[in-house]
Amino acid sequence: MITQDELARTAERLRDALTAAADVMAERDAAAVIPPVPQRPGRLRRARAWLIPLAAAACVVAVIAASVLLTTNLARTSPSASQPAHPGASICKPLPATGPGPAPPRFYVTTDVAVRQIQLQVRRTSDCAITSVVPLPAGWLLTGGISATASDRTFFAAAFSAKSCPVQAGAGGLSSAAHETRFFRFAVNDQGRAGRLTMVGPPVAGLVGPIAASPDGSRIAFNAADANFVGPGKACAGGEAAGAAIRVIDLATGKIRTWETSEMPPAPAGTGVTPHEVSWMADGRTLAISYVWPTNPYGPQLSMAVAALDTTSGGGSLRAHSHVLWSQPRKCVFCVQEALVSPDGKSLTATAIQQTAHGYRNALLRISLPSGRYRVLYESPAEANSTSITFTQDGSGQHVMVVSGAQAGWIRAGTLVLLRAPGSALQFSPGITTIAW
Amino acid sequence: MKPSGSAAESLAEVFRCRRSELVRLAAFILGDRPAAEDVVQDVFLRMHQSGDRLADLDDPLPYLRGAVVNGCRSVLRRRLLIGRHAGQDRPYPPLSAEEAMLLSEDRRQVLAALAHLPARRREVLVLRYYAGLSEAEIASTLGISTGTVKSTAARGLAALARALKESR
Repeated sequence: MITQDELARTAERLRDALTAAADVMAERDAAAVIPPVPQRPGRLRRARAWLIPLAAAACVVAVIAASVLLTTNLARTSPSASQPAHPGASICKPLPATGPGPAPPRFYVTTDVAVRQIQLQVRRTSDCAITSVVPLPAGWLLTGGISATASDRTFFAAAFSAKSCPVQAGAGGLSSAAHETRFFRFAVNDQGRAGRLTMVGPPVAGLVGPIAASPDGSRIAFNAADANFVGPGKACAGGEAAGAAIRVIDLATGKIRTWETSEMPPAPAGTGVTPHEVSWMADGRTLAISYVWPTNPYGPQLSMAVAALDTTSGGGSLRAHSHVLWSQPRKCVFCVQEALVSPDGKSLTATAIQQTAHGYRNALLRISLPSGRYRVLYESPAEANSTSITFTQDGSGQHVMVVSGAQAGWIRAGTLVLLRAPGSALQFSPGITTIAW
Repeated sequence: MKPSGSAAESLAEVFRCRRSELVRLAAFILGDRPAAEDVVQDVFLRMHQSGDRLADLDDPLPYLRGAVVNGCRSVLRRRLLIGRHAGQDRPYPPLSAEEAMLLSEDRRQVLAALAHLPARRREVLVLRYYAGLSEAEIASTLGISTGTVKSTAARGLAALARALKESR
């Protein structure tokens, strides 16, 4: 007798197996080159006869070079016998000049590991070249929160500075350093040159988690889970009340709205949840919030959900002003760890891990809403399985930039295009995105 | 009728973007990659020769998918006739030995079990769990009722679950 549970599990296994097999096939397809339709066939006929053997020799050299590059790439990323390949892996190639759908943003913003907390870098998507460096004002350090607007030319970053802070009355102890977070904005021109860094919005107490600029750049949403953090076991006099919360700053008015996230479905009653990533839908009013609650202190985070918040609601309880978009299945093959909603609200892009006999496998998924069906966009190379995946998506939601270990690339329609230089965007801490695109 | 210049360009564009995806779909149904490539090639060739205007369709993929599934059925019918006289045992999944090694044992087992399902059930499961089609879309693609899709999918999944249980 086959139970419903077994049927559901079989369906998941089938979907996973088909997707993995398709990815393996896609890798072979990516290696095969379909010659483009010649735009001007007459040119070949006009070519001089002596060019033909020269062209043949050049082709041989090109094929050998491509083979070496491909072999090197595969050797670097080749999965072991039990690991599926990542989809469409290929040597780095320039962005297609034309193609279906919108073009990916030309620039992205990240940080370099050596200067990650004091400097932002604008890089060109096509070749990862740094086109501009944006230093933070003295005394300010990045929290890791970086975000782009839908226009892909305006970027925001969250940074903090320390200030002296008397310990709360009655708590005892010495004065401690409190953290104050401010938001910074800058624009990038057609050549990738960054404009002036401008401090925007009011100060926020403590450190903030991931941030998300609204599509029009008028508001910033952030996870204020650490809002009252000022040091181990200390609280700042006059500081914010403790408790996880989502906040949205209106940059025009400076007004901050707060939604408390003490309890959220489907977490059991009485269980507090911790918000993680925030992402805006294209309407500019709906904010998706991923959150977790404790069930499994060891191994993958299993209890997770994503809710849609109506940010015109004015604040209060997140539970009262939101509805659940997706929640982790009880028996997940790929267990989602971080998730961003697509601008149209029809899917989530999420990092996930799968427990294997040898440890964990990291993957990037596209999850359809509300069905929950998913497909694997990317899997970490075998040797980087313990390396988590950092990702971000562009304003259209059709392009995803992914960084895993020394590998970085962007994905459109399930095809990975590796960037020329290894990504230097690293995570400061789990859950914080350090790339904006 | 040959397509006009712009129609030919749009056909070439669709071919470039969708060919691999369609070959994989056909390969899962047929369990044979060269045959899958032939089916997809035939579909595009027919469209080119008949001057079908893909540009007139908002989304050509459902049309192409239906044509590919029909092409796969023709192959399966031919194979059935041939099989009566000379049995063939094709490997499934349609991957080379090196490629198959890239899949975990668990995934290979699932795909092997899928290969042993009757063609109709395999078609429905592939369209559902690989192509991600809804029941209504599968019904439209295969030219059957939604009820038949539901019952075929349920029976196929149950058969798959049984096969996997027995293989443990």
